Amino acid sequence: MQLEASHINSHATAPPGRLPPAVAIAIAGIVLTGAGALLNLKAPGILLPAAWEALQNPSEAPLLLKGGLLDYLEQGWISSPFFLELASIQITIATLLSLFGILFALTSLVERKVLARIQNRYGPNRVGPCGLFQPIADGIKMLIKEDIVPRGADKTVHLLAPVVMVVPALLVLAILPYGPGLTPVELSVGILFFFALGATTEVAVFMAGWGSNNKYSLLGAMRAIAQMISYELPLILTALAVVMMAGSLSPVAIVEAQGGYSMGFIPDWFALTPWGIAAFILFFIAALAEANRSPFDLPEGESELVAGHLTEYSGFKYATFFLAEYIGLFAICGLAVTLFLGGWHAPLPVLEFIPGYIWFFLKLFALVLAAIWIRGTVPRIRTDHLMYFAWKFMIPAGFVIILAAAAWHYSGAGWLGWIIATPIVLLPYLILARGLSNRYATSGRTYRFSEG
Amino acid sequence: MTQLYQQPRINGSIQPNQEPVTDTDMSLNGTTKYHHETEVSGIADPAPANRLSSGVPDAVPETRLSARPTAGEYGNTPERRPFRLPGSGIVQGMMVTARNWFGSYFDRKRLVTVQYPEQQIRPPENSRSIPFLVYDGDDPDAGLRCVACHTCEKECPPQAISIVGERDENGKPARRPKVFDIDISVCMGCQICAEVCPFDAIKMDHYLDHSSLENFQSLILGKTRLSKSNAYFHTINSTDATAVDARLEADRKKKEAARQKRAAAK
Amino acid sequence: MIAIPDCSFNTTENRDPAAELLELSLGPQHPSTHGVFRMNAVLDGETVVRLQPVFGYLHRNHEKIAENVSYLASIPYTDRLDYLCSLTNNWAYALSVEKLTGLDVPERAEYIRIILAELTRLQNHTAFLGFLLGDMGAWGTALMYGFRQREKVLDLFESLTGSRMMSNYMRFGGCRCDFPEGWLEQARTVIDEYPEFLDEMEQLLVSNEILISRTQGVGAISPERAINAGLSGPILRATGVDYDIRKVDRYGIYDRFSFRIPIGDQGDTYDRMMMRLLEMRESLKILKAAIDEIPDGPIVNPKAKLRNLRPPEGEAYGRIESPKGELGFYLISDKQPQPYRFRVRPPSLINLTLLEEMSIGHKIADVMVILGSIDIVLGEVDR
Repeated sequence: MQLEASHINSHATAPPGRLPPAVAIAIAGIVLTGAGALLNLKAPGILLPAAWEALQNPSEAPLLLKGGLLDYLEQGWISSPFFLELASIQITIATLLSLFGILFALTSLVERKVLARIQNRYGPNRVGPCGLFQPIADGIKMLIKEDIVPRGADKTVHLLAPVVMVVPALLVLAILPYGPGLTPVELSVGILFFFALGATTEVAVFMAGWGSNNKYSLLGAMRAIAQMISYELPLILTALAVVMMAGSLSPVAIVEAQGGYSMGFIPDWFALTPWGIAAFILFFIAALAEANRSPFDLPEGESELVAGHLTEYSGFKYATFFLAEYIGLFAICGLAVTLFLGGWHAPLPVLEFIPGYIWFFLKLFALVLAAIWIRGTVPRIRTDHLMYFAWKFMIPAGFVIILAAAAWHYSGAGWLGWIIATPIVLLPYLILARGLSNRYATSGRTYRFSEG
Repeated sequence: MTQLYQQPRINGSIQPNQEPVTDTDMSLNGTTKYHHETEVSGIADPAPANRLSSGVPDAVPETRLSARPTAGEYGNTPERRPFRLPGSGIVQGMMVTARNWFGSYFDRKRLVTVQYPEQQIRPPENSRSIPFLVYDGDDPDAGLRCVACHTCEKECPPQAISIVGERDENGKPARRPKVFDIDISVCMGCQICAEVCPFDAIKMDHYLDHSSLENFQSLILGKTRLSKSNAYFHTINSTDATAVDARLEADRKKKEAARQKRAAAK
Repeated sequence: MIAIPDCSFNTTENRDPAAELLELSLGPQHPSTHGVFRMNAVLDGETVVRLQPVFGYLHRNHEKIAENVSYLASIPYTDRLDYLCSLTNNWAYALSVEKLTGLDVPERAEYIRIILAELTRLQNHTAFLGFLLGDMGAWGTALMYGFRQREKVLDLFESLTGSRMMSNYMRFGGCRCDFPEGWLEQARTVIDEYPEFLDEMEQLLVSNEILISRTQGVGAISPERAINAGLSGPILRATGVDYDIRKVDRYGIYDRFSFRIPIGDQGDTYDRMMMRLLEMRESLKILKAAIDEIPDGPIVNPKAKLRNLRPPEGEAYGRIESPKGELGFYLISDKQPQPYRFRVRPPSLINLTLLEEMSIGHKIADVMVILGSIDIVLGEVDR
């Protein structure tokens, strides 16, 4: 009766568009920088052709732009080859940082929007069109908030924890192959590097929990340690299967091993093999646990531990944790794309004209969206179940997958492989199903009714 | 007849208590240990024999438990429990959330919130916030229906109303309030004042934005701020306002007729 | 002199040398204590060793106030007991005053009461599911779905009683006002839409493996224990005890409707959740029948007095099956306008008494779920 459309009096359709100060400052900065660059008269002559070339050849665009910029620096500013090398590294780092910074801002908005839509709400829509400037507003809010350090806290550890958290998260971005020739650091042991650095996050979480001198924080940190160490193993085991198949620890080699199409249109991604799909699902679950994402967000499980290891953090330190968690999520999703979803390769041959880095980020974003979707659906898992799940299911399943991958490899990676590898993967799953339905009434219980 | 509810029915049959149930040790720091045995005494007898009021039947029919859920009921019979793949429940749940996720872009039913300050849903007529005083005509002073009878003041549960009646020069009550204050920080909007008012002088408002920076004086609404016209009452609750108008008109006519009768009798 | 219970545990004395215990005070400001409720928990790792509920933070002196105001003036205060189900609170209070005064209730008013009570049950259980999932950390999705549906019931309440939650609707010997134009049709639409929502909710929740693993076998109580502790409502029926005051007392006109009472058998959190889900379906049956059959007639006993009610000397205990359990009001009248004694039997408080027993041995995360499954409202616990 009340919710009829006719009763909704729309006084104003949208608030009038005004330029928020932060955007004005950003635009002014860009204009000033551009003007400064143009004052050096060589700039247009070098940068514009590079930009034009990049436009014509989009798949090479990042490299061409970087080359143009380096040329410009070489002719106008820097003569020493050492500093030029340094500048080259700096350009890569700056690009990565700003790219993932923007992605972080975007994801924090998209996450809130998607969660809101899942929950039948609008989500943030007040700051800017469709709430686009919400991340900026959030950032400003975080920056100007008071930074509270508890009196009993270990101040050094409390301060260092967010820094220690964010550094490895950023470092691991260096080894991901974003496109053909677009790997910042082409390490031959890239996967090893990734896991080695990824494991240091646990130290940061424990630092946060211990340094806060808060019982909730400590409990959260203990949970985080147990969880992350347990889930490293299935993560590594499933990655190991891929490493076995590709015969290399180098992410670039792994992506290249997934190039090509069978039957002309099915991409040769590892996720499209019987062992690979299982490994991918397992990897993704473990990745969610590793990134402290729901349903494995126990360290900050807000319904029991208030905010876990983040309880005593506020202001910019909290924002740094937030940033580190998202970057960690991107990194691990990027690794999942590299290992299983063919990295920069297009899903169909006809789509190959789209540059590889776009495919990489599209896949990455799809995985992030899946993580958000899962977060909007499931309740949180319990500590002991989490450990049982890791040690009693994920790790044995990881071994099974290695077995299946070997069977796939030695049976020629064809139809015979499907016949042999599929049961190896499926059988333990069905056994698990059996065991679960013995332990829990997984298909519901029967209830009696009193007719009274 | 034994009352069935005196005996607990446990899983379909009445089971005697096999072993005494002991309370867990409730003494937490070891000082006051008490430990007692309790037995199943059944549900506390609501004393049907000396029940104080009528209307409650004393005989409770035999309780039956249906042995098995009928078709379309929840759950499955244990003999044929289907084999459920682990993870399928989560996938099923994710389908529900996906339906809501995408549905919220197309389906008005799935996106039920309105953007409050810009869009406002008109509250239903009966909706209530705090009371206001109705006056007829245009003059809030002259047209006030309130006669300062103190009924609402007496009945107000949190005693938020305070009334001082006006007196004329002879000291007789002037059937008009001199002071009519409602402390809206105390008022709980229960509408008992509107219910008990014999003159339909106080009614419930829809207006909600009463917040103020000052805690005390600005939250005590006086006569001037409380008085609102009958026309306003018509805009927020026309059903009630029309009924009240008709009632008052009938009253007036009756009085008029009585006066004419009296005049004619004279 | 009131003995103040010692609410702190001594974790250093009697300490098991093998286990270092951690005392954790959860609440009163805590995201999932459902209001200002505090639990003093002693943890061994994550396992709860001891737990003491501490409440009283929301004590508002309801019973004493009621002994000092008129019978009528207590009705709006009863709204604020269990603020999710004010209409059933009203009914329980009105029922006990009617017992005290011997007032009959007209038939239409009885139908109205049943419709409103069952709607209240619906919206309470709907919100309960959402809150329970929120306690499990489901990021409010189920909560928002529940609220989406509950809003429709609250809209009905608002257009009838004037308020979404603080209804102040039942009166001694009837109800305050009749349905506005089109109310029953709107109610019928809401009721017809409800099964669709329940299906969606069941799809989302009931077979979710994480939910199953977190609720099955968690916080189980035996029927004997439940009876001894005086539990009532869905939490008692989940243990397998067939006890519903709607069937036992048949207050109002519940004997005219055919509905069934779901009975659990494990008494754990999952059963408690399922009791509510199944009860909602039964409530819908009652609602449909009541809306179809509701007769015309007066809605309040003409003999009923609104003001200056002075019941004859005596005492009465009126109880109903509120969504949370047995809600009773015990009144003693000494022929004054105020009751001589006014006492509430709150289901939330009494259901809460077994919290420690249910929680011990479980993980700290389970405590929140168990607390959520008891379905307390602090307004009623603390009164």
